[in-house]
Amino acid sequence: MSSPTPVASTDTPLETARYLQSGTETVFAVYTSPASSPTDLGVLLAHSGPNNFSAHRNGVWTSISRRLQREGIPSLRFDFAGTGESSGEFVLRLDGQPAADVAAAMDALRATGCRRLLVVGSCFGGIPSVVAGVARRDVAGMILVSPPLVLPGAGGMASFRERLREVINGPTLRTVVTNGEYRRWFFGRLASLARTKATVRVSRLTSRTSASRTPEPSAAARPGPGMLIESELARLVMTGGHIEMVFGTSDDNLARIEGHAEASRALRRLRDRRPAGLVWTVFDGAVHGLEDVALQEQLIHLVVERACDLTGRPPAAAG
Amino acid sequence: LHRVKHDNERVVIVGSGGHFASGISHYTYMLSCTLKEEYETGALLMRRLVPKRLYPGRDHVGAPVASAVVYPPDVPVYDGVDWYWGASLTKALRYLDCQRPTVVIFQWWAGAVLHTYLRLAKYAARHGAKIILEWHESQDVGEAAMPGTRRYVQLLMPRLLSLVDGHVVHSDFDLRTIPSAYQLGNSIVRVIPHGPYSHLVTEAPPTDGRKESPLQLLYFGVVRPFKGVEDLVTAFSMLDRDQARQFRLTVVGETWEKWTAPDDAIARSPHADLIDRVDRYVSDEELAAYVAQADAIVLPYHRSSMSGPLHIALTAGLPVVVTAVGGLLEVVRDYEGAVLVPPQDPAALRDALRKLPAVRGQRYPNPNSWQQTLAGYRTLISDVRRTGGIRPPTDRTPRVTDGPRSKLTAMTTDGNRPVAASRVKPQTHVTVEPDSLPASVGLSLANSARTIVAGVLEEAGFLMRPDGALFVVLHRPADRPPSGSLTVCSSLFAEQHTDYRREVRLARMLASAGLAVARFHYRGLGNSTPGPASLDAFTQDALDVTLAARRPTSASHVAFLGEGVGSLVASRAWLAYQDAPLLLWKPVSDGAQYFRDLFRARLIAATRAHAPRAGTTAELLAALASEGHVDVMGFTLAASLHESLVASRLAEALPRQPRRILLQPFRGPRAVGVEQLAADWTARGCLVDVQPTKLVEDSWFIPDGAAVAASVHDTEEQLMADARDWLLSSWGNGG
Repeated sequence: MSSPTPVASTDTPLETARYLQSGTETVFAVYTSPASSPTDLGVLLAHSGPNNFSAHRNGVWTSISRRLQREGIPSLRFDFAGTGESSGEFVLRLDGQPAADVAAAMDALRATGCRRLLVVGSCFGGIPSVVAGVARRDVAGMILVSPPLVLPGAGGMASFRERLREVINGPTLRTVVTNGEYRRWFFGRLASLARTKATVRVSRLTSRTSASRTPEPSAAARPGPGMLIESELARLVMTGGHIEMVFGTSDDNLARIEGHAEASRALRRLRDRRPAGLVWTVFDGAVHGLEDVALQEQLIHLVVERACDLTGRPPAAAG
Repeated sequence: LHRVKHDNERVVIVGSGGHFASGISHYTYMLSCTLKEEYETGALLMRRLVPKRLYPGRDHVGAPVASAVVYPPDVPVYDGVDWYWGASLTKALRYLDCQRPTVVIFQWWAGAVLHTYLRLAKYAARHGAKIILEWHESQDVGEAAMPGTRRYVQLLMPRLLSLVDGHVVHSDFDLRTIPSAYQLGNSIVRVIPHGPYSHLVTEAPPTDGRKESPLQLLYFGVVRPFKGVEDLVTAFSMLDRDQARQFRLTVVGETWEKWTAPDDAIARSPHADLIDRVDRYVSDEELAAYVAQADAIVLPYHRSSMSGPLHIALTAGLPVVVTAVGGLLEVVRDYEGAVLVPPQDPAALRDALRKLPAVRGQRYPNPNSWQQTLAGYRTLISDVRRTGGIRPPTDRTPRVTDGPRSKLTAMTTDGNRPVAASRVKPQTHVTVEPDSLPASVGLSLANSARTIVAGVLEEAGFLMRPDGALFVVLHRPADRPPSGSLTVCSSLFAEQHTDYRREVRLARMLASAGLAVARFHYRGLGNSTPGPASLDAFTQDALDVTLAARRPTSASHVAFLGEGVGSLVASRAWLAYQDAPLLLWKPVSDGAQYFRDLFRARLIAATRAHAPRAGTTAELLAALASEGHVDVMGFTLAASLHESLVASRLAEALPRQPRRILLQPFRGPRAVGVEQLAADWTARGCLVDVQPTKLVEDSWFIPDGAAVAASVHDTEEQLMADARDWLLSSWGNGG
């Protein structure tokens, strides 16, 4: 007889660390389970990618998990490969490793007994979530928090004009003129950036090798000029899932969609074909990056409410 | 084996006697026999727990069933106190007067003894004894189901807990569940595994002659709803006739709480003729005989904190089929004869039964021992003694002593206007006493998972403490014991996010070089549970994590790394370890300056995001004072954390003897103060190395772009390699 065989237990603890296999990488996750009578719906929380980890900014994902737990809804929050506690190097791709990570997390959540999934993806995290979710039948809904459906330049790289507009715009120039602190930071930053880029160029010239260690995106990952994941979104919407886009009025990602005729048309088409399937929620302020605690609270409330709606249970308590 | 008696310690164990015999009676006895090896030990027993008619096992009350419980002559016993007190309590107090215990250990399992425990604990504490509470479960399940009893316990328990200096639980599971049921305050909590019940097991007869006879399956223990005996009968009934004939199932145990489902299941079973049912509380001799005859023991509990029958099974070395519930998982973690099955799953139980013929006759070593218990109590008694004869302070923090007043007397937080004096703590020189290491930690990660990343063993989990669970990741070499352990105290807010991956990569690099690294989320942040944030609290977190990291690694050397504002945390925790080196990345040498920079960054971030102009720093501080917390770039800043950090400076961490320090400033304003800091510490006799790096410190605005990222990556690699080499050389030189 070998060592004890681990199995699931009904005395499931509230939060458990997990390591999941995602291709050749090991993806870290935290599973939060209700103390009793879990629902058949599980919520998967995908953070925004680089410079983030499973708890998300200000522990927003942790808060959502713990509030869902009080509602009897299990959840899993995880780190993409190359972020947080996971192995590997993060690669900004629409498919490939990030989508495999989401799929591994979905499978892990299903393995705990959930039959349906609500996937919440923040910013970039929403994109591979859609890619991974479209191939499955267990995704009951998706909430995409300020997803970058249209990239700067709509081709993966910001155009020179857009990059210039990032720096030279009304509010920035006004603040440079009126605020000494900001002015010092602004020019210090420009100098630092120029110095760093110059160092890299000199190093390239001397070594005659590519200085970039970041893998180039594959052809499959290289986005086209239109809206990202348009066909995947369409399939999810038309197959009856609850798809909700959450933006803030100040989000660049929203502005890019609104300023991109093709993307606007595509989304309008989807909404026209199935109005209940594609919900558009816009909060006042900036949702992108979750840099506002009050908006974080609204988002937490929204996710918990949607999850409860999908389970058919009314939320037990606010807060 | 020669044992040293601690002449200055006299221990009295308060537990259950033989009149209302139960597992606690046996445990009290075994613990007394164990502790008497090192301490003058006595046993004060509870005799009549409740009116007999209220007791579910009333049929065996007073019967001589616990015959194996015979206290040795050198353990003075008082047996015992009745629930209605009377003269029995007076005699118990007289017994305490006689024994003059320095430590009294109360065995807790049911509210029936609460009023008596409260009286005895008060009396003992008043006479100078330390009080230890050993938890067998939060409250007996049957008792808790009786109207009003749960409320009664909830009402009175805080009074008992206020007298307790230390707690003992038997598993990490209890470490999680009991503090969630009761406020244990700031007392020490230790996990001390349950010892084996060797006194109830006799030498098993040779099994060779029984090979042809049916395999003897045994369930024993009180039959109650949560014991799941009906699942076992159902599983047995699911075997086909030929399979069932290979077994003989014996169910031994008194029915409590009118739970007849197992008997009903037996009556319905197609294999009822292969099942023996003994519905009474058997004597110790009978039990020993049943165990000796058994080929395997099956314990199909639905829930359990701890199980006496499981310990008997392990003592006998028998194969045991047990459900994966509660603390049982931990008991059998290192027992090779265990087959774990999910609870309430007769099919899985049936499958497990089918495996038993293959291991018939095998015996397995018991990983548990009373020596573990003795060692655990030795440490605990020493720790409660170290509190210096006073109850633990309400704020469980490292001891901080006022030193000479700092030169900085007028602190400002916005660089311009002085803040109201009442909001600023007086400056202190911080001295964390080396002997004030926290002892209230379970020291092992709960709900954890392990993996190996490029030859590095990583374990992520939760460090359970009375004041909440900390998320911790331990990195260590997979192929050898680590030579030292580094605790990483991370930065805060957005800076923590941008630094996060760097710290993970450092941990993997150091673990590859043969070191252990502990990383964690401070209380209230990330994946840790909520808790009041302050510099003291975070320092305590770092110390707790350091202890937890050292136990599995047995690392002799300890070091601390502080990054950003985490430098203030690391430098305080560092003082608790005399020889530890200290590494600081982009150190924040002045908490007030840190907040000035952070609040400025808030304005810049708002501008970049085209958001409405953020309020001024003065407005922010006013909100902090009135609301207790504010939003800084999407992070909640608590007033308690702000207040404690603003009053903190790195130079105030003054070691008592020369220490090794590595300062690795990044490019930016923080680097300005590093030279002065190095000079201050050098003047104190420290060996300070300064290695500036080209990384920029205000990394929450780190620019995008692959070229720049590559540059950062290379520079980071160099930074980490420098830190590794410096650390290894520090320890190579004797630390």
